[in-house]
Amino acid sequence: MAEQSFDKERPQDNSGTRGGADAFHRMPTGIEALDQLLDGGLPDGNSLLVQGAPGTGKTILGMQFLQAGIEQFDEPGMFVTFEEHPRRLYRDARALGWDFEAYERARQLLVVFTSPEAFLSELGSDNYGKLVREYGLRRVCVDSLTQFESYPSAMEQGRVRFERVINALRRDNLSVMMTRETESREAPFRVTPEEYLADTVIQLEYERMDETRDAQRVRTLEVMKNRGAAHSSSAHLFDIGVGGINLHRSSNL
Amino acid sequence: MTPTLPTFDPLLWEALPDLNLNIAQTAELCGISVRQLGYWTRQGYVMAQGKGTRRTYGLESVRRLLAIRKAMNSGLSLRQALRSVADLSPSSAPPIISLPITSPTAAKACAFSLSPSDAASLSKSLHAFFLANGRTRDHAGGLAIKLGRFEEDVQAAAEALCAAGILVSMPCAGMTVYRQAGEKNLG
Ligand SMILES: Nc1ncnc2c1ncn2[C@@H]1O[C@H](COP(=O)(O)OP(=O)(O)OP(=O)(O)O)[C@@H](O)[C@H]1O
Ligand SMILES: [Mg+2]
Repeated sequence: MAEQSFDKERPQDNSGTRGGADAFHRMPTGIEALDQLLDGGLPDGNSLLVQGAPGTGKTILGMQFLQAGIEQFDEPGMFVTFEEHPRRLYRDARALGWDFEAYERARQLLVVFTSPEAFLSELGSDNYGKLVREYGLRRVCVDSLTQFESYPSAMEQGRVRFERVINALRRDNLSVMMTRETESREAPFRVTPEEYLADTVIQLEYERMDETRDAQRVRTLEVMKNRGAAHSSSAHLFDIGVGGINLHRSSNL
Repeated sequence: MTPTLPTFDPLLWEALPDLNLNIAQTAELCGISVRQLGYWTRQGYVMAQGKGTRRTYGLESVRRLLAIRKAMNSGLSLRQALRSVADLSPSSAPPIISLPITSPTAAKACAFSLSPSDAASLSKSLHAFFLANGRTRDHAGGLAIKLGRFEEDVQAAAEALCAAGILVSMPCAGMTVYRQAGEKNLG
């Protein structure tokens, strides 16, 4: 029942103002139920890592993070995609009720189609800094970090590379969300550098309720870590439909 | 002219049942980029042992990679090449390509180069790709994966499109990143 008292104590202020005197200032993601699980929103400057097996909704949550920023706080965003073609993103967004092409025409959104190597070297040379200033970008989603793992680098460890991405994006004052594929239930057995380094970690699952073959699968979202602030301590059911991820706040598992 | 790969010496294959190459060695031997090898592995086109950067490739995988490359060299798309090697199994298929064990870089010597008409059609595909995906900014290796073509060929096509004023190249930390020309505000 700890969860209930947590919910009662949650801050009600979702005004989205930044840089207040409050030492624990939060940046609301704009996804209301998620902000509640995070005790009001992302602690300012926290990087957000969204993990899950394929098909669990990572890309959708990433798109929703940018959509909410645009619609609710007028914060332009950038979606960096390595594998998913932009056209497919537009199509998938449309099915969720979001017109990403219109956002792009209005200069509120920038979908960048690139590869990990090109992204890293452009980050290093401030090309993205120019885009950030040009568009007034406030949010970025990188989908997905898994592509960084697929090529070895003689120069640096995955850990250093990951830090480099986060720091370069933070340098430009962006709120950073990254996605990463994990095998189902991998988390309890293996902790990865990404999980150490990210400030806030969210795990998505799509699992059967029990071991029987005809048992229904349910989607859950769980906050694993939230540096600098409290967070909900249980897995929450959600579904996906128009509007994106819809968290069922009351139904903890 | 399309270079041909050397023919197979069965004795070399039989001598290598325990072949176990790391990613860089496999990529070099098969004449593909490390990135492309990683992608093909993740897509399940080729099998590897181990995980992440410690993956290794055995004889069957190397043979399969060389067969895919050979098929693509003869003009097949990646998809068609995969179909053509689908039933390549150790017992049934005659060995296809030689494995130049003495000099891995020999594989590179038969690097791909497209005939003039193929090169022109690749330039067209690349141009079409940029038109369809206007926000692309990528280096030749990344584009090669997205187009399912070889990096050297894509590099040449991208340079041709730069010369024609269609693409812009941005030298950047030891690599060249390409984007569409005339795209305002895109750095
Ligand atoms: N319009 C929609 N309505 C309902 N459910 C949807 C809709 N679009 C997608 N989904 C669900 O979301 C899932 C895909 O979500 P998403 O693409 O975010 O997954 P992901 O975690 O990014 O997967 P991957 O690791 O493969 O990229 C689909 O398998 C489907 O179940
Ligand atoms: Mg995805």
